Formats: sequence, structure tokens, C-alpha cells
Amino acid sequence: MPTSPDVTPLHPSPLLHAIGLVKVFHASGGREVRAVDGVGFSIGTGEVLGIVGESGSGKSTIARMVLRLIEPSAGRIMFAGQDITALGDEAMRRLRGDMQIVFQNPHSALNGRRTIGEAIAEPLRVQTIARGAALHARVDRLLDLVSLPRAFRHRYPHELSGGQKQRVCIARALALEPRFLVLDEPTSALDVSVQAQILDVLGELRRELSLTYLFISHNLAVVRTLCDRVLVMSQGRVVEEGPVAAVFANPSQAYTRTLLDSVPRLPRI
Amino acid sequence: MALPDASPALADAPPTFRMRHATTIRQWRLYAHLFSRSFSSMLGLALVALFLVLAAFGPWLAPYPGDTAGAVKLSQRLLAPSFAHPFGTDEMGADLLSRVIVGTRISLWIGLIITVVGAGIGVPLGIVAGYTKSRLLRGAIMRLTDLFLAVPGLALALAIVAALGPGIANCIAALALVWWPGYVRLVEAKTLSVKEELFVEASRAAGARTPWILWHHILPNCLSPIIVKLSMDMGLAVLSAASLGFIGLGAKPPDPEWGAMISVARSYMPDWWWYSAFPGLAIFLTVLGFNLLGDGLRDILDPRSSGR
Ligand SMILES: Nc1ncnc2c1ncn2[C@@H]1O[C@H](COP(=O)(O)OP(=O)(O)OP(=O)(O)O)[C@@H](O)[C@H]1O
Ligand SMILES: [Mg+2]
Repeated sequence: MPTSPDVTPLHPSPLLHAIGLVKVFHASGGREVRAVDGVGFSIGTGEVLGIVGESGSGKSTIARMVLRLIEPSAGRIMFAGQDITALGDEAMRRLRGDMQIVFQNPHSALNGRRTIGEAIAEPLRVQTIARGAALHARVDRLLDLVSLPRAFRHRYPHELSGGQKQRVCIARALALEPRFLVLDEPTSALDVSVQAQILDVLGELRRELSLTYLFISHNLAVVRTLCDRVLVMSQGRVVEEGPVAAVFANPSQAYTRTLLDSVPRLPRI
Repeated sequence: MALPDASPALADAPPTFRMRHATTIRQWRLYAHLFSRSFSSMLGLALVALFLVLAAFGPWLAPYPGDTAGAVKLSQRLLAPSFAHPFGTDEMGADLLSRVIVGTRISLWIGLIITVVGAGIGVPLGIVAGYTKSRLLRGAIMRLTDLFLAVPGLALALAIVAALGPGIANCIAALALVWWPGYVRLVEAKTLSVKEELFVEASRAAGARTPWILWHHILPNCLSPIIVKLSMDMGLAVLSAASLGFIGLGAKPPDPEWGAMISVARSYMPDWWWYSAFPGLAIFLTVLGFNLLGDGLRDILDPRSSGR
């Protein structure tokens, strides 16, 4: 397990480095929502950075900006030493193989009209990495990796449980063999008993494949076990940051203390 | 990162077709079951099937195939329905049953071409309008659609045929040109909601280009309402083509087209009622059949919108 550096917030050579990210949404009626307001952080190779914060604090928005699924209003994103903030469509498309995401809600993250096999094969097909028998074999291996029966490739999402769907989403995210994985509350839509299984899978995969995670969660207990460092967010800003043990043992902000005291919320669907 | 190798030992006998498509087969069985429980759906299916058979094999099924090409048998003019001529005969002495049967093919062809061309224009426009980020493009497509929708389709088609000149080909072209706006509306609304789904974002995150996303994610999720509308529109298109035939802008009288037949039969009402009644009945049953079929399809494919 890579250990986190104790205090240095900036790594000498971070895998991902976000500087002054801002996202302003233009809501209906001309209202402006500053969903993310000047957030910066860096993640070292092999590290797991946690982001916690109440609902609506801008966590998912950060996840989407970091992967350039939505454009930041201001700020810069560096990935593996390259500034990707203004990277062209085609270059960004090729880079996507290195950075993948698992979404909050596995029930809507899979197209109900496509089989599990098609869903997992999709990244490999759009990046024209494999086809025919090679593609088939890769999908088998990915199903093995997330401990799903290979016969599941012929099933449709509605025939799977929430936990199985989330495994499919993880397999799809791993198909391109990324280095960096964003996990946006990967367990919040799942039953408590299934949450633990998914977290086990994620922990194992990280060790086996030496992945770097940006792990977003409501659940502080989960963050404590899985993450090296943690970012505490409130209303689009970072209110506290540091190694997990330090932040949890000795929260310096009142906000973090209330988060720590609050009962885990019900999973959102 | 390197994935561990697949263990070939785990792979057992290759799955059969039935196993691979078990879900799809089960789904179709369920559809068939739901569909067969509704009397009106089955009636619609039966009517459509009947007219499809007549369209495919009409010339072999007609009792007097020679009568369809404008034969003149003056001794048999305007005979009432009888055993020899179940639908009676027309003013040239031609067997009406034969003419109605053979006319099925023309009517269904016209309906099919109109709806397919209409959908072929409307569906891509709707997907583009719904998916594009460009307000200008979306606005342009939707304004044009609204413009076409504001004018009754048949009236517009009339104007176009009047400009192009009467005839079946022009009638088809005119109706196809006015048939697409409904599809734009339908598909645009559906695309707007489907494109917000997480699986579309996941696809983009994997590096899919827009055409891939439109083809593999957006279109398949728009398909059910499109199929329902196609079925409903088939009946309407047949009716519209017959209407143009009736006012003399579509098919021309020696052709056994239903609308054109009624157009001539008009002057023989009411004494020789069968002349117009049977072609009219054929039109009515075709429209009814496709509408009931579309209704039934909507109940099983797109149940949420069946309240309309
Ligand atoms: N497309 C959008 N348009 C307008 N406002 C948005 C949009 N997406 C997010 N927001 C707003 O931005 C804020 C942050 O949203 P975000 O989804 O990032 O929160 P979150 O921390 O992920 O919350 P949760 O824990 O509930 O997932 C919210 O107030 C939300 O309403
Ligand atoms: Mg979120």
C-alpha cells in the first residue's frame, strides 16, 4: 500500500493536478449557481484521494470537470504532466483510455437496450482496441476481474441486481486499462450488504492493477478505510484537507466535526 | 496496468443460440402474450395481416384478374353483388372484388413509401435537433417543423400536387414531403430526455464520438415510439393517398386504386351503392387495422404514453 506523504499537499510529480477549478451553472431564470468555487488538489500516482461533503457541495461536478465531461468555467487540469484543460476533442478522446469513471447510480449508467457484454465491450470498440475473438476474450477477462459469471454477457441490465450492475460499470471502466479512476459515490445507491462487496472489489483491483483513485463519498467510514488523503467540501469550496487519519482524529473545522458526528445518510437513488 | 490472463479452463461448451438470446426470446414471448390478450390488438393484427396477404398475392387471389386492367364487358355493367361477383361490377362490367383486391398493393405501397420517407427525413432531423448543443441549429429545425405542422398536411400536399401535376408519383412525393414533421417532434422530445441519461455520459467518458452515441444509445431508445407512430401513420397515409385519388390528383381511374374508384363511383350513388361501398370499406378496414395495431404496439412497447 502506498502511504500518503504526511503534510505535503502537492506531490513532486502528481498524476492529476487541479488548480483553481470553478464551475458556474446558469440555472433557469438567469440565476448563477457556483457549484464549484476555486478548488485545487493533486493526486499522486497510486494514491487514493477522498472527497467528502454534503449533498450538493459540488463533488460530482468536480469529478466531471476533472475528466473534461463538462468544461470548467475557470481553472486548469494537469494529467500526467500534460495540461488537458484546453486539449482538442480528438486528443482528449484518445486520452480517455487513461482516465475513467464509475458513476453514482448504476441503474441509469447502463443502457437498458444493450447487453452487459456490449456495455463492457463499448470502450474497446470506440477506441478500436480490439474486435472479434480478441474482443470476446477481453470481455471474458473483465467479467472474471469483477467476479461476474461469463454468461452474464448475454444478459440485459434489468436482469441484474444493483451490486452486479455496479460491477459491470467497474468492468467497463477498467476495459481500457486506465491508470486513474474516478469513483463517484460508487456504493451510495446500493444496499449496505452489497456496499462492502463493491468496496472489497475496488480495494483489490487497486492493489492488483496499481490504480490511482479519486474517491467521492458520503460515507466517512468508507473514506477512512480506503483513502490516503481527504478533501472536505462545503458549498463548492474545500474547507479542510489532509491525511485521513489527521483529519478524522482532529478535525479543525466545525463543518468537518458535524459531518463526522452526523449519522450516515440513506443512499440516494 | 495489466489484466490477469483469462483461464481457458473456465470456458465451457459454446452457448447455443437459445442460450445467448434467452432474454430476447423471453421478452418477445412476454410481448406476444400481452398482445394476444387484447382483442382490439389482435383484430388490428388480423386486418393488417389480411391486407398484407392481399397485397402480396392479389393478382393470384382475384377471381377475374383480367378485369383489373380496364376490361370492358358492357353486358355485365353495374351488376349487384351476387355469387359470381360478391362485390358487384362497375360501369365497365369489371368485377369489383378483383379490383379492390388488386388495389390493395397500390394503396399499401403508397402508405409504406410515404411513412418510410417521412420517418427517414424526420427521425434524423429530430435526433440532431434534440442532441445538438447549437441553439441555432436546434431552433432552425424546430421552427421549420412548427411551420409545417401549422399547415394541415393534406392541404399542403394538395398545393404541392397541384404544382407538380396529378399522378401517383407526384402524390407520393407530396405526401412524403409533408409527413416528416411529426417524427421530428416525437424524436426530438425523446432525444432530449435520453441524452441526459448517465449511460450517454459514460459512453462519452469512454471516448465515443457523437455518431456512435446517436446510433447505439439515442436511436435504440427512441425506437418504440417511432414504431408505434409508423403503424398509426400507415393507415393515415393510405387514407390521404385515397383522398388525393378521390379528388383526381392521385391515381387515375383505370388504375384500381381505392380513392380513384370511389371518385368514379360517386356519380352512381345511391342506386348502385356497392360500387363505392366496397372500396370505401377496404379503406376503412385498412385504416382501422393499422390504428388498432399501433395502439396495441404502444400498449406493450411504450406503456407510459398510452393515456394519450
Ligand atoms: N447541469 C446543472 N445545471 C445547473 N445546476 C447544476 C447542474 N449540475 C449540478 N448543479 C448544481 O451544482 C451543485 C453541485 O452539484 P453536484 O452534483 O456536484 O453535488 P454533489 O456534491 O455531487 O451532491 P450529491 O452528494 O448529492 O451527489 C448543486 O447545487 C446542483 O444543483
Ligand atoms: Mg454527486
